[in-house]
Formats: sequence, C-alpha cells, structure tokens
Amino acid sequence: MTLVVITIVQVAGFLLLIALCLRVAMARSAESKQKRVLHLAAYIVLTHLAIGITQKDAWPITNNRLMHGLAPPSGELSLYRFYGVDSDGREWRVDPYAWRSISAWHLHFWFWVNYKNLTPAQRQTALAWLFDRAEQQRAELAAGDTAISPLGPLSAPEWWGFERDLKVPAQPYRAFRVYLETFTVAGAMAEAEQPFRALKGHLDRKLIAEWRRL
Amino acid sequence: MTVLDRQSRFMQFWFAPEAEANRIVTRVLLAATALWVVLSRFDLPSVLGYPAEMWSFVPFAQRIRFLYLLPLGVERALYVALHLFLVGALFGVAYRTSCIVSGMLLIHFAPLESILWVPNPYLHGLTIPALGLLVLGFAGKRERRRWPLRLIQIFFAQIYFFAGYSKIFTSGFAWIDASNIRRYLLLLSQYLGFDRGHPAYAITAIPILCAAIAWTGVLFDLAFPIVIFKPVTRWVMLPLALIFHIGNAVLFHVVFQEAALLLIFVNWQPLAERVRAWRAAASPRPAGVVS
Repeated sequence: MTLVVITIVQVAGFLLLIALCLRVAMARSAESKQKRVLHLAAYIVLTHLAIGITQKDAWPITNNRLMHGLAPPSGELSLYRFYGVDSDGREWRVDPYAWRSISAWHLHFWFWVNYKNLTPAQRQTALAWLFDRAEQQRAELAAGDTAISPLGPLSAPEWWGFERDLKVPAQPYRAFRVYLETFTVAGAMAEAEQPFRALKGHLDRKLIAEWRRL
Repeated sequence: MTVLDRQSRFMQFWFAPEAEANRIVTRVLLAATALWVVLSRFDLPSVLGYPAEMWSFVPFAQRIRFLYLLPLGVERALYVALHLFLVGALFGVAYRTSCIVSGMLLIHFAPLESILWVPNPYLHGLTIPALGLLVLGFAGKRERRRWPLRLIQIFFAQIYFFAGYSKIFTSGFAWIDASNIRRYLLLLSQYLGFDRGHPAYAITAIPILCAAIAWTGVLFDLAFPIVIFKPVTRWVMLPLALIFHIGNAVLFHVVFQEAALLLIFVNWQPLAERVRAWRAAASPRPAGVVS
C-alpha cells in the first residue's frame, strides 16, 4: 500500500511537471507566458530542493546521491561475481559487460536482494538465462569482438568502471557459477605493502549458485 | 540595491535574451549525449524480455509508473523511434516534436537499466538530457529568452550540490576524513577488479592527499551552483569540474557520462560570431553582384 501511494505521488509529481510545461507552451500572451514560466521554474526548483534535501526519489527528479555512505569501517565489502566454467573445469570470470543492458553493479544488487527469495525452480531459470548471456558474449569475445555496442571503442562506459575480463575459452562454457566474493581493507593493506602483486589473494569466496548445461 | 533593482535582476536572470549559439549548443549537447548513451545501450529494451523470475520483485506499480506494459516488439520499435527523434532534436528537425517525444521516450526507457534493483536510473547519462529536451521542446524553437537554458543549468548544477549534500546528510563530517577516502580507494579498486599497479593504491599511502581529496570534492560539489549566478566563476569551476571528473574516473572508477554538458555554461556566441566572420571573409561575393 505504501509503495502504491509513493508511486502515485511520484507519477503525480511528473505529470504536474508536464502540465506546467504544457501551460507554458499554450500561453497566448507574452505576459501570461512569463508568469507561467515562473510557475514552472518555481516548481522545478522547489521539487529539486525537496527531493534533494529529503534524499527521496521521484526520478527524473532525483536526489543525486553518490558514495554518500562511509566506506565500511569494518573494511568489508562483498560482490556477487559470475564465472563461466569450461569443459576442463576451469573458471573464467564473466566480463562485466556480458549482460548488455544492465550493468554488473545492478545484477549484483539484484542477486543481493532477490535471489534468496526465489524458489529453487525459479533460481534455475534465472541462472540458465544468465548462462546464455555469458555464453553468447564468450562466443563474441572468442571471435575477437570486444565492443560493448555498435559504437565500438567510442561506446559510453558504465557508471562504475569495472575492469573488463576479455579472456575466454575457445570452447563453450559447460557451467555457470555465482560466488559472493568479500574484500577487506585489512587484506588490501597487507597486499598493498607487497608492491606490484596482483590483489587477488585475500578474497573470501563463497559459492552461491551453480547451473550446469545438460 | 532597491526592491525594484532586485526584481529587475530576477527578471533578467530568467528572461534576458539568450544568444542563438548558446541555445543551439545546448540542444546539440543534450541530444548528442542521449544519443551516445542509447546507442551504447543498444539492447536496452531487451530487459523487458528478461525471464519473469528476474522481474518477479519489480512491483507492478513501477511497471505502470514507467508504462512497461507493451509487447517487447513494440518497445523495440519505440527504441528505434527514440534514436530517430534524438537525431531530429540534434539537427533541430521538427524541433518541438523531436525534443518532447525524445524526452518522454528517454523517461520511459532509462529506468530499464536499473529497475531490477531500483527504479531510479540517475547518473546513468540520461536524466539531464530527458529533462532538458522536455524543457526545450515545450519552450519551442521561437523562444529567444534565457529561461530554458537557465532551467537546464539548474538541473545540471544541482547534481553536484546534492552529491555533496548527500555525503554530509548521510554520513556527517566523518565522510570528510582521510581514512574514509583511503578505504573507498582501496575497496572500490578491488571491488571493480583493479590490481596493485593502479594509481589509486599509490594515493592511499599519502593520508594528506586523501584528506585533500575529501575536502576538495565536497567543497567543490557544494559550491558548484555558483556558476549559475556568477558567470565569472565558470573560468575556475569548469576546469575544476573537468579535473574532478578525470580524478573520479581514474581513482574511484566513476564515469560521469553527462560531463560534456558542462559546456552549457560556456558562452558560445563570440566563437559563433568569429566563425561567421571567417566564413564571410573566406567567401567574398564576386565583384558586381548586388544582394
């Protein structure tokens, strides 16, 4: 019920914006247009202030918060990571751009919030679908096509600049695994004291899900 | 300053004539930024074809809010139409229709990028173009006054202000602490897959630099709206913004797709006049021809 009310308010806020824009477009005299522009401007400024100050959301009017929390003082951060498994059992981290339309960041949060609430059958369906996407991109990368869009190297990167994983096996994946990988600041600092060593050794990895091609 | 002076300045702020070059550049930047992002997310409507299991936690109210009710084929056709309307907006063809329809379609499609988690796709490159194109469209091609550009500048400047405000609002002054920035640099670099050779790790070893990043970042964010009211500050704030975004991209791995919109704060009219003069000089009329 709360969500429905919030959604109604969000939609109403946007419709009011459009209505005020329309009033400006339909003004007949210069004086009336000027007055309507000021109404529109007041609405835009006040709604942005209200949304910004309260840190609520009514996209396209939004709070624009970014890295607003403290970096975890306990020094722990976890991320769902996705791996394809080849016929030799070797794991290959799936490129963050494999999902095409959504970022690895959003998929991570979808897993974080929703995956545990799915039934076992639903989980298998979702994993199978992700496997297909990963496999589709593996074939492209194996053929040398690393572009994330028809714009090639001029494509707009994602908001979070994940490092790409372009190495893939020549043969199709046989399975798909999801790990929850946890990083720690303490681990990072220990690693950072050893110059130019790959920072992979301190990961905690927990297998969350696996899907196998029959 | 008298009340009348203030009123006059207020009206000037919104309704002074705006140079044609600035109006054109703003429209081109908004349309080009949106086109760049939608071409880069060329398969965005396919999110609607994701398995029902992945949509199962998206409330129906949100589907209605963004009108995700049409068949996938229709959505794909609309996405193609969005590209065409954006090209129209870019070149000023069917000005009002192109701007309004592309703005509305951007508002329809942009949330797909994040909706499986949250219905708020801000900072993904389409928010300001969507709002800006709507304002330009409703203002119309014949609008010569400043207010459409002013509103777009406000849309843009408040991104910085509230990015800074949100840090203090949520975390208090503990956010502006060297150790917080140090942890962010370390965790984000690892989180996003970057190894020890990345420059972010070198910064973490210098606490004073981490503190400087924190203070400069927040103060810059909060101060940015001054560019709307005091144009002279743009000489400092716009280059700083560029450095800010390069720093964010390199150290924190945050890419701001709308960075090109900083150019809406530049006065393009002198350049346009110079180009016009060069053109006139380069193509003198043949002797004896009278216009």
